Amino acid sequence: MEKELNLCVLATSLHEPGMDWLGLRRIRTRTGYLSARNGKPEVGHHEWSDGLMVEVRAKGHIGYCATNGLSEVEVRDAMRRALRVARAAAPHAIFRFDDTVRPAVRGVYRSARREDFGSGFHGGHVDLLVSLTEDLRASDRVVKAAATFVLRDLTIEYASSSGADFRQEMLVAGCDLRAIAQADGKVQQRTHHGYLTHLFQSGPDLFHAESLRREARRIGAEALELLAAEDCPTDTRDVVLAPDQMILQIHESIGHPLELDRILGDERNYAGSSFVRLEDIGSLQYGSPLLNVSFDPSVETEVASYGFDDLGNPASKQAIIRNGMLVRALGSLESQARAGVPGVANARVCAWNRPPIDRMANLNLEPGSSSFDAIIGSIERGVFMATNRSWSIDDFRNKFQFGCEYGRLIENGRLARLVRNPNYRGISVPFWRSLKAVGDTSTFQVLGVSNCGKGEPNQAVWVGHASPVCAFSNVEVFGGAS
Amino acid sequence: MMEQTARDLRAAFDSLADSLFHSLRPGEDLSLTLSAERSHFLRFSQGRVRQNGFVDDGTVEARLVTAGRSLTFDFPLSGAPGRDRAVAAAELERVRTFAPAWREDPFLVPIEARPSSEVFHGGTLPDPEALPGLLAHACGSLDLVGYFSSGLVVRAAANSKGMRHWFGVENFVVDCSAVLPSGQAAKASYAGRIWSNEDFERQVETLRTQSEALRRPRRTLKPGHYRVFLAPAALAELVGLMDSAAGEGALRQGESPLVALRDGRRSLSDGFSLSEDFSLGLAPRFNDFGEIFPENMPVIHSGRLANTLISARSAREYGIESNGAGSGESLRSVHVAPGHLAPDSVLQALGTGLYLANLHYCNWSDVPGGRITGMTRHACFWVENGELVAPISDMRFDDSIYSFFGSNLEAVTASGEIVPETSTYEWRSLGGMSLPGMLVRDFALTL
Repeated sequence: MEKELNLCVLATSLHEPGMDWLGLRRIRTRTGYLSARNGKPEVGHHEWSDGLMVEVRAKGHIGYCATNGLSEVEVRDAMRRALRVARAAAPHAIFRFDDTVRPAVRGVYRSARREDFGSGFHGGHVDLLVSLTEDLRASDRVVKAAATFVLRDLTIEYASSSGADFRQEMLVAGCDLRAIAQADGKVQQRTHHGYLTHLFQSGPDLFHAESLRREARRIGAEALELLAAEDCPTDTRDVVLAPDQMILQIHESIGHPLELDRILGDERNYAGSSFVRLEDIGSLQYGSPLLNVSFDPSVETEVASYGFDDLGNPASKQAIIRNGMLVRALGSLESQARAGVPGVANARVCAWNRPPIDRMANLNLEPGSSSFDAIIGSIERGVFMATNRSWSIDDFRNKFQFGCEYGRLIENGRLARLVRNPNYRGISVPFWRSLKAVGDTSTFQVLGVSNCGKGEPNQAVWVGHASPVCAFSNVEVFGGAS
Repeated sequence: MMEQTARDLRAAFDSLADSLFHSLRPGEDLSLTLSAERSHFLRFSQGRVRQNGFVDDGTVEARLVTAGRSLTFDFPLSGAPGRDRAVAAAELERVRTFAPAWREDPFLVPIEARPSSEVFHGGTLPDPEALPGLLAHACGSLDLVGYFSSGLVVRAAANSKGMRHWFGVENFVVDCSAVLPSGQAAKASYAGRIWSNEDFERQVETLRTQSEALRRPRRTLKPGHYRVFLAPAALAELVGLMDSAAGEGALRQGESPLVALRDGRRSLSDGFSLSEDFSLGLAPRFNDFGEIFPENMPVIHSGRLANTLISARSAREYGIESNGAGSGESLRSVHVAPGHLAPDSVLQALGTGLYLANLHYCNWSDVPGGRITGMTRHACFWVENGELVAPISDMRFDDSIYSFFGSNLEAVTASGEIVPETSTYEWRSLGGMSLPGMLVRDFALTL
């Protein structure tokens, strides 16, 4: 039987000439994924992943070797290989890093609702999953009624030759419901606030039968209603966005443009750059004075809460946009060192086999003071849109287009008839400057985005977004294809 | 050395498979698929190294069929036999414990004896320690950003009825952009199995030359309808979005833009033909059920839906014949047929309009209508009377496949190129597309 790795001992005992620093990050994940469709089981899947990222700094450059070989011999070999490529790259590296980008922190973070994964899903979950598809299938015109449950137990251990020693343990639970209705050549979809947005640091209690079944019946019924609805009009009008669309608006046109590694140019070949320049931090009026956005790793159930980022930087809430003014970028210690500006603790990896890069974690739009009724009441001609179904933005994060599942016209301060295929497009900063009302805490919702992708090699992480209902003036809206 | 690594990985997989199959109980069947790599990555920006390192990875996805139930489970394959067997056995036991709680699957795909296959493509790969210096030398003052990836990629399959598949390839991909201070960029990929420093340096020089054309003052366009030429890399973004469009399940469940094509309500141009073509040698032919897909199968032929992708599960669900599609029913080795437009006549044929080298962030804006939105990106030019005039400021488009692959498809180039798959989500992907360029007489730019 192999000896269990002791990262602290290894990090402080392994050494090679020429190595200035060694870091070891082990990530273990156990995932359960169940889905059912139209009353039948579809996917019953479990995963176990366990691997180690070895980082070595030599002459200011950090090389890496990720391996799922977990003996001391294999770790030593990984260290040597990481050292060789670190030394080869150092004379040609983009920046010379030192100890400050890998602080020697010690501590433990556990997600608030963490409990042992234990046996994970059980028969009651399976019964509920299948029942939900039956609740979603409000009629035969619902051609796809699907439900998904996800549970992930994640443990991160980190140690370094400079004395870092921390551990993070999270349990994440997620749920997705969707109904696709089809009739007379028309197809409409309705979901549980978008694809797997119900993703939280929670436990199996997320799968609460009564509330989920109620949701499923609503979703199925609305998919059918949308078949009969008229198309969203094509014109310019005020737009009110529900939180389950705001999360994509925030994600694409605030989160990504403010990632400091994008501003520094690292993503220009793949995910793109940013319209934001370093000199804009502290001076760019990003949005209306109603816009307040924060990086917040401390929200108890939000999916990307943590105690430390994956470089070991202790994480805390920071204002990113205050009263519309850009005050801070989303940059980790490495990007802060390169750019010479402050940032946040946002270096993250998707798994053991990727190096850390700047990511969103939890990025939230703070609630304001307007009730939902007051917001609707203030609008003469507009459209209320809910639940993202399509998103696209340019590689500088300027020109965006979003589509939603569900719309209601707003006429003379009241919600009016249902419309389908509500879409809108705009340009980031002018759009955020047109923010005219921000909902209060009664409209605030915490959700997640499960598939945020960037990096080379590519990485997909989940991020948390929370937002109230928000209203914007004079937005270009349009409906579906004729 | 990689060939020895491939042999070691194969031995580890075969040994693990034998051990697991031997441990099965009466009434159980098991299939395994392996995705493994021994890869080197080097990420660069401004012609300098940002991050570099190695990834040694292997994941087995197992499918247990027992008592009318089908359950899948993933676990690591590290190559250490004792460790791998212990982990696999523990995961199998865990799934056995859960199985009674799962439901019987009326569309269960049984695990069956099937033909086996073995393919290995060796290569000559770049030296990871020499790459930083080579990059610096090739770039000079050029702002080159992107990444190298190279190494061994393996896909394998085995089942308890005796089927074995093995596909291994040593390859590399360089995907990069040459960026000007204005932010404009020219992009290229260099991929293959036989690395040449000289070829790489030539690619960088070509990019340098292409990026020079971007120094001209930019033209800002108004929204409207334009003649455009979609270069193969731009076409790849549009065709890539269609990867599961021909899936039988997607068509039946309202998730495909091709429903209207199938129903006869909409049509595509008779100049548009798309097939699954494994003679390209880019991806293994076996799917996750271990079935071998035909070497070539038309999906859309002269604008008509010729075949959908039907997995063994969909076949059972809908009472039709499977054609060897995997469980995801998505395209894996796409070939879009060339036409008759001579490549060196493209600009003349375009006349006045837009040359679109790349597109970005494409997404369906209306699936039933076949409408896609996205952005122009990198080296896109305004063309007048067959001459490149000016690069353009990025524009958003929103248009339907029934238009640009349909009534407004004017011509298709007589030859194409391979656009390699460059995705590295979870692991280095295999595959790619063989694509021509397309001249479209009316393409809607919206912002």
